[in-house]
Amino acid sequence: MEIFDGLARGFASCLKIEWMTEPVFGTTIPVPVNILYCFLGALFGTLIGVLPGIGPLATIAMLLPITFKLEPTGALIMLAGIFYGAQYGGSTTSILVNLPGEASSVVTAIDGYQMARQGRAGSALATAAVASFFAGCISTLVIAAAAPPLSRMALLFGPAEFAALMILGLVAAVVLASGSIVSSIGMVLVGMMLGLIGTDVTTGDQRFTFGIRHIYDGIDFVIVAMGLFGIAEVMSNLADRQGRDLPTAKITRLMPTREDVRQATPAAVRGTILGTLLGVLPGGGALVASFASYSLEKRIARDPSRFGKGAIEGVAGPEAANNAGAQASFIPLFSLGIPPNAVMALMVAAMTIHGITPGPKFVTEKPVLFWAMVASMWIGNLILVILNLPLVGIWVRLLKIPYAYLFPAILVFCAVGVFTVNYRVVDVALMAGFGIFGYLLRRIGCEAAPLILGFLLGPRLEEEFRRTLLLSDGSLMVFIERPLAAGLLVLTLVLLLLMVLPTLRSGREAVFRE
Amino acid sequence: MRLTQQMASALFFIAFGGVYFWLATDLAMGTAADMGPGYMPRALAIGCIGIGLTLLAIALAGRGLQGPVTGDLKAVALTTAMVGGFALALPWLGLPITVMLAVLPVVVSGERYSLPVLLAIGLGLAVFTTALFAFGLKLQIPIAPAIPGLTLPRLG
Repeated sequence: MEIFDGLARGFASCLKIEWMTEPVFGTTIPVPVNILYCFLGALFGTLIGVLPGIGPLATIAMLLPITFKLEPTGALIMLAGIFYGAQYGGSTTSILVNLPGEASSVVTAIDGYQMARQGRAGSALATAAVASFFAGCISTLVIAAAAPPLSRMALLFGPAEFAALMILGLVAAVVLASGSIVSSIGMVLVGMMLGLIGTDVTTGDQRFTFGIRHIYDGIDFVIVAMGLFGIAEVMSNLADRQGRDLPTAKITRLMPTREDVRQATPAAVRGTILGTLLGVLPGGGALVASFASYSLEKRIARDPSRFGKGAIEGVAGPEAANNAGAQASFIPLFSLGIPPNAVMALMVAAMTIHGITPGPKFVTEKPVLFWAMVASMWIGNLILVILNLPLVGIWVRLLKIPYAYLFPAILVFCAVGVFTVNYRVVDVALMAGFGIFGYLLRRIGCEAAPLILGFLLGPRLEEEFRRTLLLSDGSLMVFIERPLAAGLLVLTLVLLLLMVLPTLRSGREAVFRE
Repeated sequence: MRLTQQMASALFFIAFGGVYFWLATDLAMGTAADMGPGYMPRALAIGCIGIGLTLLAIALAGRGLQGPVTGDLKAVALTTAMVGGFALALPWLGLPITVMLAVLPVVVSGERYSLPVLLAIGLGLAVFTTALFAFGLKLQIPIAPAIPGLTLPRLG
């Protein structure tokens, strides 16, 4: 019973008590430190995630520095809390003001905002929170069950398999995301190209550094992420004044009615299953899962015309699906070391700062850390339910802060955050540069999320690819001769071909248009 | 011919790939079995140009994103100035003063604000960030201003 054994260890580590001296009277008091970190992470994550125009990626990037001084277990637990808080913050804004902080809560906004306009905001928020919690519980178990065997399997992977897997992951991320596929593939390539800047690990040659000493080790991931998502977002918001000051819905009762519960429960269960299945796929299924769940609910509903007018299943299903999907995307991260989406890429960067390399060896060599993180996911989800429902009123008030006061604070946090990564002001200036770059990309209709993934995976892909061809003496046949690698590449090809088929493409567009 | 988003993104990929390829020509190419530092960059640049050409073909066929390319130079300049100003000022003025100064450009942002509230927010933000990052988390951020002749700014 590896799972229960592991989970028990994880919970024990999460519930660890430290005796601390409080400063006023000097008495020692017991403090459950890791729970405290989880709580603070979830609180700050929601706090920042609720602010309009800040998605989970920018939230995590901004809060990264507060985990720097913690020991790895505490830091990871706090990061997981921030991650869930940020995700949940996105749902809150999409329900209350029809302002989804990220793509995967776009669907929540459809019926959630309508519920809010009918005075059922509290009910919608509670449903979203409870459905997410339920989905989180189930997918935590799935992670616990799936990650260890998968990582044992991954130990059999050679460079060819890893190269093939990364190609699959990058292509899947593009295919499963919204927007033009061609330009998204282009953005992955641009990201990989930017990722190669710095010293070449094999030969020691400088690539594209122009003699600038600060980028000899490559451009730091956090700088790119903050620039493209934090700074560029502020620029866009300042430029686009319309659509920002939205009237917020009034919150009346929090408790859903019995009828609500009856309708929401099966939807949440279906959403959880869909989300967990799709989330494991490389490419990260949170987004697809929420869309898929919405269309599923609409298709099987007795009266589909209710959707778009405040159907509670339209909140419960997608919310469960996107939480399950987001959480299940930890599976490829933990077991294979491949981040399936941009947010997970940032988690990799954050873990690296703490000296942890996610991958097959993470689960086997750092079991305590792995299980503590799994347990903390469950605790994080629980804290979110407890925290969010009573604090909804505060989140609403946060939404009413005028942008004139908000954006300087966002910029200051981004600047301090980036500065504290390496304690270099050059990094802050570089972040501003990436902000301009990100703004330009938005203006020409290119999404930055695939770029981030390419940026992180580019150097690794190059390394594995080089190693593969070195071993095969330059023959690409190695990718066909090794069954696992060939299988992964065939899957990639199938995904790409599917997109060329007109029927499926129009189906995909229809899903994203809904 | 009007510059659509589709056209602009095509030109961006072609230009980015082109410049990258040109810069990569200085790097040794190597062979497939023994790749030099310039092998992958060249391959990626060619791919990027290919994407650009594909997007261009779509644009010339009159399809794809038809929106015009617009931008707000003021928003970009203001944000860049705020972040750049922060980077310049931090080593010399220390965190609290830099943060206080960082909120002032809001005055020219065109957003609605009230000066007393703005100043209060600047002060609050300065106290909060200093307390959190410098004292609470003990991150090595300069706090006190550098005094000419006595202390040197940390430029990193």
